[in-house]
Amino acid sequence: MFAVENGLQGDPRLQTISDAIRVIPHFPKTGIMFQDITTLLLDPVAFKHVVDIFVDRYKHMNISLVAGVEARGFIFGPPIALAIGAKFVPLRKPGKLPGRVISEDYELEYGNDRLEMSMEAVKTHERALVIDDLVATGGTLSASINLLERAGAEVVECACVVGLPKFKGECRLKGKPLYVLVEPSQDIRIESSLHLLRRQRGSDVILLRNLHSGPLRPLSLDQLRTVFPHLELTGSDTLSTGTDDAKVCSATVLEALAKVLSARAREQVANKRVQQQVEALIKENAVLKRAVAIQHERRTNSS
Amino acid sequence: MQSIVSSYHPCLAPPSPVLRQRLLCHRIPSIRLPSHRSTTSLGLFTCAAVSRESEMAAAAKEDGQDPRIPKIASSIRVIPDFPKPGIMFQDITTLLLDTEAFKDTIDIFVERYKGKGISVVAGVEARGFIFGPPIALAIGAKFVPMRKPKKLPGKVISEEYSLEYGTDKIEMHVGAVEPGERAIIIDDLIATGGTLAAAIRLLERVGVKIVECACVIELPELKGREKLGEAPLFILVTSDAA
Repeated sequence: MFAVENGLQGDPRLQTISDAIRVIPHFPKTGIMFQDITTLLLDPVAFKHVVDIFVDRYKHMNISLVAGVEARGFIFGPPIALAIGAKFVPLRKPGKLPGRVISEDYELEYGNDRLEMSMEAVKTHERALVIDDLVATGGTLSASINLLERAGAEVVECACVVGLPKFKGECRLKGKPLYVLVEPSQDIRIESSLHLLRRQRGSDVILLRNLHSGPLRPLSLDQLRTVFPHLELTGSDTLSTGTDDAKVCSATVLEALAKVLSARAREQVANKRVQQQVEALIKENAVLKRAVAIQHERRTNSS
Repeated sequence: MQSIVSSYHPCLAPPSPVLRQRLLCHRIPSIRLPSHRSTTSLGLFTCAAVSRESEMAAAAKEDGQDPRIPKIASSIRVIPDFPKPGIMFQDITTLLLDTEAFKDTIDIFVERYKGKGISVVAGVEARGFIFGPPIALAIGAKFVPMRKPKKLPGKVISEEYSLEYGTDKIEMHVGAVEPGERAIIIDDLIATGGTLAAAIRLLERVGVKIVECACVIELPELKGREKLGEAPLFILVTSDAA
C-alpha cells in the first residue's frame, strides 16, 4: 500500500521526498535504474519528512521493535525506533553479528544470500516493524519477516521509502502488509548519465546509433559541447572498441537527450505564452494612455 | 573501588565466565568517570546491576559528570574472541536494545553539537549509519554515508587506509559536501583509528572542516587518537582491547 492510498494524497511532503531521490541508470548493472537515497539524506527537510510520516503511522501501534536491514535500513530504522520508544535490531550480512545468531537464506536473481539476527534481540510476542529503503522483489523483506517470526515476534508491517508500483493496493508480503512512501523516481540527471559513460568505457567519446540502422557514428567532444553547452566536458577524442556497451551508452544518452529536448521545448512554449501576454499588455496600455489623453483634451477644451 | 556487573542486558545469556569492562574518564573535562575495574560472574545479574548503576550514577552526578554514562556503558556487551581469537568485541547491539541507553547516547551527542554551525554529519559504514542519522536529524544537518568500495552508485572519491594485513578503502559521493562546511564524523568505536583517519582525509580533501570525531567507545590501548591529527575526539566510554 502506498502512502497516497492511505490518507496522504496531496501531502506535499511526498513530492519533496520523491524529488530528493536521485536515479543512477545502469547501477549496479545494465538495465537497473538505481534509486539513490543518499541525496534524500543530504536534504534535512526531506529526510525529516520520511521519519515524521513513519513515526505518525507507527507511534500508536504499540510497536516495541524496529528491525532494519543492512545497510540502508540502518539509516531509516533508528530515528523511527527512537521516536516511538522501540528498540532497534540490525539484520546483517553473515558473520557481522557477534554472539548467537539465527540465519535465513533467501534468493537473489543469481544465487543466494543470507541474513542474520541476534538470538537475544526478540522477546516473544513483541510487535515488530521491518524497515528498508526500497522494496523490489520483496526477497530481503520476506527473509526478515521469517527471522523475526522464528524468534517469536509478531511482524505488524514492513515499511519502505521507495517501492515498485506493483505494491499498490492490498499487496502483502508473506501475509504481512507493506507500507511504501513513494514510487521510483524518474529523475535521471544528465551528469550522472555522462559520468556513467566515462566510468564504463574509460574514454569520453559517445557513439550515437544512426536511426536508419547505418554504421555507428562517433560523436566527438566538440560536437557534444555544442549539444550540452552548459556542461563541462573533459577528456580525449579516442574511439571505443566493442559495440555492446556502446549500444548501452547510446540508449542512455538518447534517453537523457530526449529529456533535455522536451524540457527545452516546454520552456520555449512557456516563453512564447509569456511573450504573447506581454504584447497584449503593451497594447492595452497604449489604448489606456490614448483614452486618458483624449479625456484630458476634452476637459481642457470645455473649461 | 566498586565492582559493577558490566555490559549485561537482562535478557541475554551470559557470553563467558570472565569479562572486564573498565569505565574511564576520557580526558575531556565535560564528562569524566571514576575508574572502575569490574568482573562478572554467572550468578550476578539484574538487581545487582541496577543498584550499582544507580550508585555510580549518583556518584557521577555529585562529581558534575554525566549520570547517563554508567547505564550506557553497562548496556554494551563484550564478546571475547570475536571476530578472531584474542579480540574483545565491543557489541553495541545490546545498547540498541535498551531504549533508554540508546536515547541517552544520542541525546549526549546532540546536546554537544547542536547550535555549533555543523552542517554535515558523516557516518562510517555500517554502525556509523545507526548513530549518525538521529544526530543529523536533531541538529538539522545533512547525513553523509561513507561506504566500502562500490556501494555508492554515483561518482565518488576514495581514500585508502591500512589494515593489519593489506589495505581497504572508504568512499564518499562527489558533491555531498561543499568546501567550508563544518562536519563531525561518527562511528560506534575507535580502535586503531585507521578508518576515522581516512574519513578525515576524505572530507579535508574537499575543503570541509572537521569539528570533531565522535564515537561511543574508545579502545585507548590501540592509540587511535594519535592518527586523527588536529581533529579532536569525543567519546562516552573507554574499554580494554583484549
